Amino acid sequence: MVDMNEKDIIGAFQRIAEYKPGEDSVGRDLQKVRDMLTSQHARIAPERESIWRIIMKSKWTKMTSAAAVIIIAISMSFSLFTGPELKAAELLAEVAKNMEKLAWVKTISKSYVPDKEEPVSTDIHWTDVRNKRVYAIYSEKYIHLMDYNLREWSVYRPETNDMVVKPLSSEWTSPSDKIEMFIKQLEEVGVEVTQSEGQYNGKKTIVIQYDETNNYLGDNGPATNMMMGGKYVRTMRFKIIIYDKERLMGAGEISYLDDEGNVITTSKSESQAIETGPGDIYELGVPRDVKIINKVPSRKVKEIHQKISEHKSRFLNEYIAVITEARIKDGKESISEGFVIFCQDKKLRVDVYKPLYGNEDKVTGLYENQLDASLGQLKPFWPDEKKRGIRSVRLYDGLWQYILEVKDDKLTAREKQRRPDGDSYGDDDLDDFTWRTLWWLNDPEHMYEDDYSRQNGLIAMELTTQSLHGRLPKRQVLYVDPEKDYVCHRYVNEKLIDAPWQEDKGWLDAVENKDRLTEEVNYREVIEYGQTLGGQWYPKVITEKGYRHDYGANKYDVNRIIRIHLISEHPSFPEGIFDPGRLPEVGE
Amino acid sequence: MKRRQDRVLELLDRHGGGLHRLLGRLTRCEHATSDLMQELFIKLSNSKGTDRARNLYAYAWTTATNLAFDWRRRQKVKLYPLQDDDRPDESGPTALGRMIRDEQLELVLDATSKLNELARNVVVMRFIEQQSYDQIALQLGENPNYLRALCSKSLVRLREILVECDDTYSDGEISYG
Repeated sequence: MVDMNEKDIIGAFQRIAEYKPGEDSVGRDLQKVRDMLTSQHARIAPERESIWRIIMKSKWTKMTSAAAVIIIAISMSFSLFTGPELKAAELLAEVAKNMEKLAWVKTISKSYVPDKEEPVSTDIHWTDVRNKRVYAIYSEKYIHLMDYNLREWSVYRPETNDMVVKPLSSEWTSPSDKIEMFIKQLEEVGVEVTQSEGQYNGKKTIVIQYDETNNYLGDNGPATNMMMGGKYVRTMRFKIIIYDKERLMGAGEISYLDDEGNVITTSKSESQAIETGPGDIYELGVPRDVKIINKVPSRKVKEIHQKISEHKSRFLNEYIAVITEARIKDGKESISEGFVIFCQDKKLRVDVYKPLYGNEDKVTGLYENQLDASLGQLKPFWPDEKKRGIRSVRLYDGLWQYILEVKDDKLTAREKQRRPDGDSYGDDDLDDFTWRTLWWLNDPEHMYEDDYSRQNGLIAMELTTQSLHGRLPKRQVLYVDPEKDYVCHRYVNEKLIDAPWQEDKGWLDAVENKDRLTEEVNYREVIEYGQTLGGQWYPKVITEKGYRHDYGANKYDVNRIIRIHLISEHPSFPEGIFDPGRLPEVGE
Repeated sequence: MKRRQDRVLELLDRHGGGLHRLLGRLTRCEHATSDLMQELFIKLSNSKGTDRARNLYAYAWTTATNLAFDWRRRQKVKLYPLQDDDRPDESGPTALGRMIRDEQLELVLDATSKLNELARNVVVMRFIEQQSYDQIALQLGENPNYLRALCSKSLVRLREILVECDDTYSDGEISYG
């Protein structure tokens, strides 16, 4: 019965394609989904946990710690204010000034949900200002130490009685600096602050209150997706209570509100200056026999990272470049992507061109004015204009990321995104190609040596990871050339089924859907270097070889070449090239 | 910036019907289609991938396809050979033919679920969604010639999978999991 040839199979697919659902059932199902989406988000959440249990999870603790910083600042019991008519920013500036004198600050933050009197979580922070350390106990259970001198972050987990020590990436900011930044942010955002009179602990108070609406876009998408208890946090309501007579800070509160203005949770904090705090993390209750999982790279690895960062920071900050990526088949290069890059400090414009594969290009010609500059740069390296067409235009103006992509035969703008931390693409700048780092799930890399590194005088680092959740064991190796500004000379990326470094050799047996596994091996290597006018090295030609092998099925070879053409350094840029107003659609 | 929910609602308005049809074709089960539509939009509402997706429809399409084939894999379908008693009478060859044909469709879809993700998506786009290779190439960012070759190889692989099923079938029953 199942002896079907290819024609039969196609016929079967055609019959499947003939399926048309009844209009009633489509309408009913779509309405059901629409009702679900427009009702409370808590009902959408697949988890059926109570609200406070969800709040207790990691996102909550992260936000509490962030909130605590501000609350530390605003609830210090000091007489800080002098004049009766001071504005909120000036008051906070006074707080910041006085906090510079402190050695230790202890903050207790409690969070509450509506209809529950007892706090659902209590967090305590001890900030050792002089030694740049922050100790914390979250939810009366998880003990943390952030040591900004050592740049290490220790997290004790009582369930497993282990303590993970990992690199601390953020920079130390003193409580007073944080208040300064906070004031600056308030001024930039331009929140409307209201002041009123009130009572607290039987005393007359001045209450400063303002709302901050979530519209910031971070690396992980819009912060309007901040969720608590299965609800989106739309507004954060800050409340600062100051004793009127003493001009002391009484307390600080942050309430998180949903779209409809309902309070999801409130965090209340009180801080006090203390003479001294914990001497080490064990004093807070970490058992002495705790198992320590060290994820901090060795000193040598840190030194290499430092070198890479230094050279990267010195690279050209103004240039025009063209990068082409091509597949190689039978010795012939076939361009699969072309990037034209205009870079000026933080500003970056990248026009991406793709092959047409025989299709007619209906788009590029529509935007000759806007694409004129990039087409002119691209032409010498990809001359056949009938074989290529615009695919996307990316512009980062130093704060906002604009992306236009070809859709329905025209360039269509995606919603612009605010990116204070830089452009969102990791492979647009020349320095992205020139300097690379290893990263995977916060596991540390280690120094590595093999015949290749020895023969070529390279420094190498390796990072291996075990199979996790049915994913293939992974290995990355980075070879940098210390004689050439620590440029990445070779980069190895391997995901193998039978990986020598995999400890549990029986991992594959536990994988349910093996057919989804794909082995991948990639070797990127610089075969030709260039130098800037200032003498700094960069890769001119990079080869990429390897393969992709779908489990139990086809294997595809990868053979590509990347050519980097640095056209000019410190150029005169085409007029308006970084102006989003001149982009099609954006400017309309 | 529109919130995720707005994007998801917009997707529902513009492509809800198409996604429903896709799920219907891949599951061939009205109840499953209804359940998976809800599951799909729950996933989209709760996933950061929705925010990162450059093409939300493409992301939703892939998620829907994965859900449908996961559903197929979860079904422990047991197919028994037709016994003489089950055969329709002379007046109903069409009924038998339809029964066999329906089983064939199920088997082909089950076999498709065993292809790797790229091959499976290309097969669905080409033979069920009936898109041209150029359209598929644009969506997947691959060369159409490569996709044509992949489709051809996938058909061969599907036939092999079906033959493997047939071997199992001859033992009395087959079970998909």
